Amino acid sequence: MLTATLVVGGIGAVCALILGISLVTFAVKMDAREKEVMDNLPGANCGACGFAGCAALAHELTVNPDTRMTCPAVNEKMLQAIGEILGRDMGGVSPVIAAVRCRGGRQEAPVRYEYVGPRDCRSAQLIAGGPKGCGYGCLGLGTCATVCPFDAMVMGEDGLPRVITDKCTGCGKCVDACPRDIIALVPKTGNYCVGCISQDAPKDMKKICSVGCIKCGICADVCPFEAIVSEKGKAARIDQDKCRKCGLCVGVCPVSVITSRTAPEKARIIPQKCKGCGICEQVCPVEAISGKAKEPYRVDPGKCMGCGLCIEKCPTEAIERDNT
Amino acid sequence: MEYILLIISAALVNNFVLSRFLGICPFIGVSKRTDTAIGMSMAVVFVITLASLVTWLLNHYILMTLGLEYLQTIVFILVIAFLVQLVEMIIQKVSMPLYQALGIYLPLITTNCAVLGVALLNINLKYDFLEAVIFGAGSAVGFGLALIIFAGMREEMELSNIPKVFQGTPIALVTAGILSLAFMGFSGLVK
Repeated sequence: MLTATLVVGGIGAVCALILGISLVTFAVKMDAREKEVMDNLPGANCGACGFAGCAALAHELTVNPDTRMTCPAVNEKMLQAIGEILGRDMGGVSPVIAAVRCRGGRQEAPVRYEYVGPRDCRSAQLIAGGPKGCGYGCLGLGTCATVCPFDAMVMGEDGLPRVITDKCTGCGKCVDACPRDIIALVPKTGNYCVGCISQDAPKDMKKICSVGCIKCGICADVCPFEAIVSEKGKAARIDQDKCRKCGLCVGVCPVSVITSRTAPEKARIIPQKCKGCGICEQVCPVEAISGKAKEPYRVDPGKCMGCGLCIEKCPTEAIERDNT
Repeated sequence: MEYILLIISAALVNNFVLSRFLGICPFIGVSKRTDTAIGMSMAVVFVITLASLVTWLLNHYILMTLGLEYLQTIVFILVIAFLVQLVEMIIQKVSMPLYQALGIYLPLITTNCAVLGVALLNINLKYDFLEAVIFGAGSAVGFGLALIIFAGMREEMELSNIPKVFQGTPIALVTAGILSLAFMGFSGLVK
């Protein structure tokens, strides 16, 4: 027993001693900032950033000023600290803005009764479930616009709120204020959103609103990334984590209830780099890429929807986003 | 000749991943891309060879002399972890390119069961010093081989039309099984 303890303890002590000495002897000078950045990363070495561990990301961020912060686990505080260390703006943690998920204005979705109480949606909601015919539609009294601390929401002529993208900070105050949960936070870029949350059966909904989601599920079928959830009896919903901003759903929706403010950036093949392997043609979900083997392939901008799958898979990095 | 047979036996016939089912975690985890698989394989070869060398010496000269063989597992873990830390520091100082190539894989492989497996098998199979080191290196090469082949297959599978239910891990496991079957073809090679 004693020998065993002594042997294991002894070996441990010797190892610790050698490690301690070599820590000093073999110390490598590295950019002090790299160490600081490293200290502000989660340190889980999960690899989700696309680099081999936190140290690699820290190195890349320090050495290459073009590296974007791709760590999904960093919070606002860490991000700010890293921004200060490196002296550049690291951007926000997944910037979001508010999106109104109802398009039924006064014309499209009429009211059941005339409400004359306090001009506040939360009050209106208390009177027999609100004046709006549709139980899921916007009440149009502008509580969201009132609570917005940044004046980023204005009520339109049609009685629906509009989000001013440049002013919205994604604080979420309007989301909390809306008694009908109509407002959601969506990514700032490529904010695809279904403009309806109705759970009424299509034929019932058609009686009270002419622009709502008819739950046909075509968008969910066409989405190459399974980012659209279309449950029976519920309006389609976009999973923003999976959405690749291809915009395919916008085109197929028969009632045009899916919208986005930003156009997708299409793919462009750089002919000098393309070796004509054809992988892009195989992965493209909309058959927008064609060409002959061993010759540069071409993207049909009319068909390309900017999902970026080909860019990821191209072995020669010959495809880029066309942002002209 | 005996040593060559030992390498073939360790690398192909008794492949660590596909016959002994050790080190499955990195086998599935880092086999999505060939370049990471190669990095991992290099780290594995490095660590296992070194570990089998040191643990054999340790076992032979310290544990066996004192009659403390039952401490093998704990002492081996301790020493392997220490060794990898030390080597990582030295490599970082001496050769930055090698350090960057092995990268995070070096510390990651430290606590893997394949590494400890080799160290313990060396003792159980009663290898002498040279045999132990060669067996370690051979096993590691076999592990690397399986990992790189598998990574290559998974890269190809990315482009193929796989039924939805099989996408991702399920098809990876099925493929690993088939690869394991293929490696069974080597079983008659060395007795």
